[in-house]
Amino acid sequence: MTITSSIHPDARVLAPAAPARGGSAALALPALLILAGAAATFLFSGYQLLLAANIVAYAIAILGLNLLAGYNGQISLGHGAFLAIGGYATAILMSRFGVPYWLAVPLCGLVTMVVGFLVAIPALRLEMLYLALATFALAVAVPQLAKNKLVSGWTGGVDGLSLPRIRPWSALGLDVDQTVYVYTLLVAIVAFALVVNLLRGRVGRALEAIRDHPVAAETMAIDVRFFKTAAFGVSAFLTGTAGGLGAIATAFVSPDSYAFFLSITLMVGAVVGGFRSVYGALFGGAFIVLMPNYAERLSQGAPWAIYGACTILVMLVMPSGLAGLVRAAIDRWRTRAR
Amino acid sequence: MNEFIHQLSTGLVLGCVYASLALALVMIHQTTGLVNFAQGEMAMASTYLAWTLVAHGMPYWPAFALTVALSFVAGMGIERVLIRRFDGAPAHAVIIVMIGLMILIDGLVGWIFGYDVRTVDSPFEKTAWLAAGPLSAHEAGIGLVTLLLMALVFAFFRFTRLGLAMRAAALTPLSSRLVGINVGLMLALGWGIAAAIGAVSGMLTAPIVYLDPNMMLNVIIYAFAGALLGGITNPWGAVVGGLAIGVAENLAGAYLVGTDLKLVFVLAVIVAVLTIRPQGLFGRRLVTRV
Repeated sequence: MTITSSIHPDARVLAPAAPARGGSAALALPALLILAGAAATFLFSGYQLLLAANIVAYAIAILGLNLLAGYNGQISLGHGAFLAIGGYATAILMSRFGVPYWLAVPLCGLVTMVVGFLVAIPALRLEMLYLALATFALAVAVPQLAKNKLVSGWTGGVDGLSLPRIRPWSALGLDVDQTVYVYTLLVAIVAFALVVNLLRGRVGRALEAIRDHPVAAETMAIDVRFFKTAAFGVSAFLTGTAGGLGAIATAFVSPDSYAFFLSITLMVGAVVGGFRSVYGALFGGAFIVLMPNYAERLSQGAPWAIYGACTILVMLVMPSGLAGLVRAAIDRWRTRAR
Repeated sequence: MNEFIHQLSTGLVLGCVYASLALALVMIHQTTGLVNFAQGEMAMASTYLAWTLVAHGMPYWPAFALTVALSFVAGMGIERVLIRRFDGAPAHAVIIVMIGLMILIDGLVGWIFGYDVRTVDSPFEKTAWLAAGPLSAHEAGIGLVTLLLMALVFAFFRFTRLGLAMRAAALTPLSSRLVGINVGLMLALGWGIAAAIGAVSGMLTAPIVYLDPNMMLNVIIYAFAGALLGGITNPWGAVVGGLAIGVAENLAGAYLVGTDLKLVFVLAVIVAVLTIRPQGLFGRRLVTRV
């Protein structure tokens, strides 16, 4: 038993706070990731680029979920709903109104953000367990909402909507798949940069204070209602944008794309990647896109069994997820080098 | 009018199924303070077990009894091995673990049995005399079994020493330990009983919703709604809530929103209950000190 665990029961499960690494070292990791991401444009092609684009898009979605659930403690099991809103909004904007994709994606992010604010209002009153329950029910209801006759004029009902294929950036020598991937990557870089900046400062500390002890946070003059609502809004913005990116990548949306299990998949990705970590979202996105690709050959049920087993294992053994594992490895390497 | 009575009776029967699953949810909430997100999948796995036994030649009611017993043991095992480890952990941890458990069970059953939808015969077909008025034999059978289940659970908690011990362990664990009650065992028993009740619920539902790994996904949402509506701290409330949701869902589906918006309707009910009166109709308001 270490001293930390007798101070606060949460301490052993909390990931260590991101150390304030200053100067050039702090930029090394992001720069490396961006370079790797850019290189992937030319190393892969076709279907692999589609997978890569999906990984990056899901990483943004999981980042949104991490922000809300990991940093702010509002467990949402219904983030698939935001993906659906983002995806359908993009599809409708592009196919019905002819909005170009590079404008449609940020717009759908804004639309989803508004919905996020609306959802946040009742969510403020719900404690964690009941919020999880309510969002669980939301996730189950989403496909029905998309199929419903009232909106099927817009959403295409059961058949779904196709998106117009985007024009490739031939000036840069990229084909359609590469263009989609590069655009997704650019959006991701902006999104991650924004979130990292947000979380490193006052806002991040306020969010975490609200998660750990809302009453204490309130007494310290942190506007709990504002930050919780804002967290929901930003989270919805990120996830909605990811939904739009996903829709562009597959050029098709339908109610079945946003079935109940998608919300659960996002949560699994967030947990396995690293619940209270920005980079964890990348690991999570890779996990939820790549693992089923291989596991599906075993059986249709195998990916779910593996998701479940991994989630339980991570919570038992490695609560800070893959990102925590990497961080521990880096820390150990650093102390050994001294 | 006939149509309305038919909808009403079907609603009550479905409500019995939701009520029994809601009872399982309340059982776990009463003993461990958690809402078991995996309850539906556990019930589904029990139903597959029963189906396998019957497919291998065992007659229905012995298979039923054996499944209930095995589910009881499995429920105890899950609590002891998995849930117990998260005793002092932050609130989100055990929720995530239950979600993980839910998809693990779903995936395993899908892996072993495949995702084909199978039809299951009702055990009440041979007792056609059960059919009463607008209810078919199976529907009447569901009602009877649910009533029996509720009576058994009530009698257990009210009139047996073990039931008393479980209630004490849930109310004041520390004092119960001082009096010599094995609180850990009581928690495990709570999960075991809930798993057994869930198994009954699943086996009753299978002839209606057909057997496939996702059969309980919708049912669990209705059960949640019923438990929340009735009050998650009150077993009677859960039953009343389940019946109410069954009737409301059916009537709303027939006359208000159409069958394809039933889940949205139930979602609205859940959100309304949680925002307007979180303790439900018959529950107690839980106040925590800071």
